[in-house]
Amino acid sequence: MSAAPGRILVVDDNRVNRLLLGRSLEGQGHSVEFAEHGGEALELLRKDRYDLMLLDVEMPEVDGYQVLAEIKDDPHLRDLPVIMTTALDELDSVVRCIEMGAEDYLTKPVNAVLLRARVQSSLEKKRLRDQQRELISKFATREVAEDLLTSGFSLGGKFVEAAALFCDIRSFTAIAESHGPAETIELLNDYYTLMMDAIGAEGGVVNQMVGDGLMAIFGAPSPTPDFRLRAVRAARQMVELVELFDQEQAALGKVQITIGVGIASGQVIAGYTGTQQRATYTCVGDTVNLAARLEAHTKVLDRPILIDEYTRDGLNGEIPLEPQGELMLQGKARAVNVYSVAPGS
Amino acid sequence: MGAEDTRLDPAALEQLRELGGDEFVADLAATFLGEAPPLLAVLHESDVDEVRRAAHTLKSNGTTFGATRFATLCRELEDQARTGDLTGAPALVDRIEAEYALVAAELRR
Repeated sequence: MSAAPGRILVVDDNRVNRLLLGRSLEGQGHSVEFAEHGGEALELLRKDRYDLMLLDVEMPEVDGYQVLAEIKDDPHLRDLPVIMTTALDELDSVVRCIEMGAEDYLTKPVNAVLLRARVQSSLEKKRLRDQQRELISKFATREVAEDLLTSGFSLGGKFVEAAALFCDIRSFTAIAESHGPAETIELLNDYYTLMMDAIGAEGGVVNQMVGDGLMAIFGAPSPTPDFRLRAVRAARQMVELVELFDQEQAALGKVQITIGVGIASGQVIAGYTGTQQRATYTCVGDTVNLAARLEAHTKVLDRPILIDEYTRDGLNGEIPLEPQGELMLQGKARAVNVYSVAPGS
Repeated sequence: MGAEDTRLDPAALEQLRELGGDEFVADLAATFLGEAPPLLAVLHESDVDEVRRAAHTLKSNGTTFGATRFATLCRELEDQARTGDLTGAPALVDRIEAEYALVAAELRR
């Protein structure tokens, strides 16, 4: 078995070790670059892409621990597999490095057979991770993909504070019935592109798309203190983008759309639901139900954006609102205070 | 000199030879011999951190060439430097230097 060659960075302050590791790795078909100390390693890592790093622990100035800590702190570098190279009498340091996120270790002088096995296994794991990331990014957002990859894949939820946003196209069924399938799908694709831009720009995560409806979450999986403000800013941007889109459509003599957006905030249960083969990040709970009801209610009140009171409390008066009074919403036991948000950004 | 007096473990040298042939082993040995004298000089200094690091590098290179006794002595000094107390170190450094002379002689052959 021989894996595809990789680009490997060897970090060691000892010239004999660099020569030895370089020779072994090149003999196994890999391309190798060297850094003589931790500082040089970090510089190279930030400039270039590597598939794997072999890292010495004991180095002057910036040692192996510091390099490891820095790369684990850097979202662009933290997935780089690291194999520690260490003296046989330093196994304590190996434990610490593995705890800090190193993938594996080798004792010096490095045995060629072990080196080959560990390097291949690390490169293979990295390739699988890269593939997995690419695959996940096709059906999930970047945040969800990162969350999945860092937390590991576990189905199971937790309580989080978040804002749930629902959006759909008004009278979409009628539009779909009176236009051809090609035009309908093109319209949906344009719409989704615009909505995801607006939501993504505010750090929201789109986790459901059904027909012309979508659901987004703000504040999870990555917590942000201003998730309510972000959700409302995204909603205003969404409405504005649709207005601009309509101007273009009108100029082309094509169908125009209007959207309704409902936002509710509070505690939600968030997590991955599904099976090991196919899962989605989602939020459930009363807050989510309320957001869906508010979105439906935008048609009744003829307002593009409706939010609940707790979402309003998070806006610090930064966005003009219009109180809509207490509303009894379908499926809710108690009346809720509802506010409409003026469009524009 | 009998086999038991050999400073270098033949198995370690054989492993290096398998990796890159005689020429590579010669290059590697030359590198070690070139880097060792300044590191040995550091062992006489009083900065425990410097002494520890130099002893560490010498130990590592000694192990690479199968210079087991040399590496063991260097490790003793490294451990001692780690405690921060270099009392009695000069005697150990003398032994390291004597052992190095034997190792170097054998590597040059």
